[in-house]
Amino acid sequence: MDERNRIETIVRGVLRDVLGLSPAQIAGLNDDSGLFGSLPELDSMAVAGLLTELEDRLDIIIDGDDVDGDMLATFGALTDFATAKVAA
Amino acid sequence: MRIDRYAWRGGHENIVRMGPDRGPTLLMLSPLFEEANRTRRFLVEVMRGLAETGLGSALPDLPGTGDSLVPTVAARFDDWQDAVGQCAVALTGDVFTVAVRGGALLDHAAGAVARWRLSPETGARLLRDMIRSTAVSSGASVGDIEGRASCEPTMLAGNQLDPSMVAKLDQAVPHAGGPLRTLRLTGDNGSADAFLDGAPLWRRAEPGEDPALTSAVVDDIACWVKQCVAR
Repeated sequence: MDERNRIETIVRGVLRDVLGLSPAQIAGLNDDSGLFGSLPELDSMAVAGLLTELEDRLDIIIDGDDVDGDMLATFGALTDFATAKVAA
Repeated sequence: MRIDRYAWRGGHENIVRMGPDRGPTLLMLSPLFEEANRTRRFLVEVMRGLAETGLGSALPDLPGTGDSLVPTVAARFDDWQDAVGQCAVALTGDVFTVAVRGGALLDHAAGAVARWRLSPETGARLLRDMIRSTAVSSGASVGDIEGRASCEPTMLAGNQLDPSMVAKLDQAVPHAGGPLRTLRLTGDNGSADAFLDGAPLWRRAEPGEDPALTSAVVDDIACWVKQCVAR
């Protein structure tokens, strides 16, 4: 769980930097918070940026086949995805 | 602010000019494709700041970008290199390049006295971003999009790109060597001479402004030009 918390903090930081969300928005994110399709800031270009930043900061490679709407649907899903990639 | 024109081997394009005509000129090379739209305002604010310090700057359209009459699908990487070189020739005084992101893939073509870069990026990584973005918005797989883009004109993140552009971009890397200063944003992985706090405006759907980053960039460029000229 500690590892997931560590990664959640990094995911939060990436969302803040890439999307320019306010500190209040960032602090308010929980596992059920909607991302792609819910946040106007997260358009498809921003998704690409988000994935690249996650790769760089977590030292992971995200394959083309991994990229779909489900992993980006909620903050929790994205954090789970990133945690699984780091563990792989 | 005024608009000049320059000739490249296939036509003419606009150059936005700011500041004095004489003395060193900063040739601004914007990021490529959609990132160019997102950073346009930032670059113009940097140019305004440079003008206030007494430095002239020039921001050219490349063939197939900005107000160019060349359709995006007809843009060729080699033409861009030619255009950067011709634009530099059209400017008076010593030319220094200021390249952001993918602009750094072209700065060697200017034959500049020295080159300054912010967050330079390889063509392969830029292409990967565009292909992923297209995959997310279209639902097609990354593999399918890569396959199509390599054999027919394909819409990638809002721009119709010819396979030859895709192939050249995939191989393009910022040239090393020569007097070069590289800055990156804090948190960026790559190597740099210095890091600045700031937002990656090229990633943002609503880029807005980052006045602190703009002013830090202006200060760094102005100081760098002064040092280069003194040498």
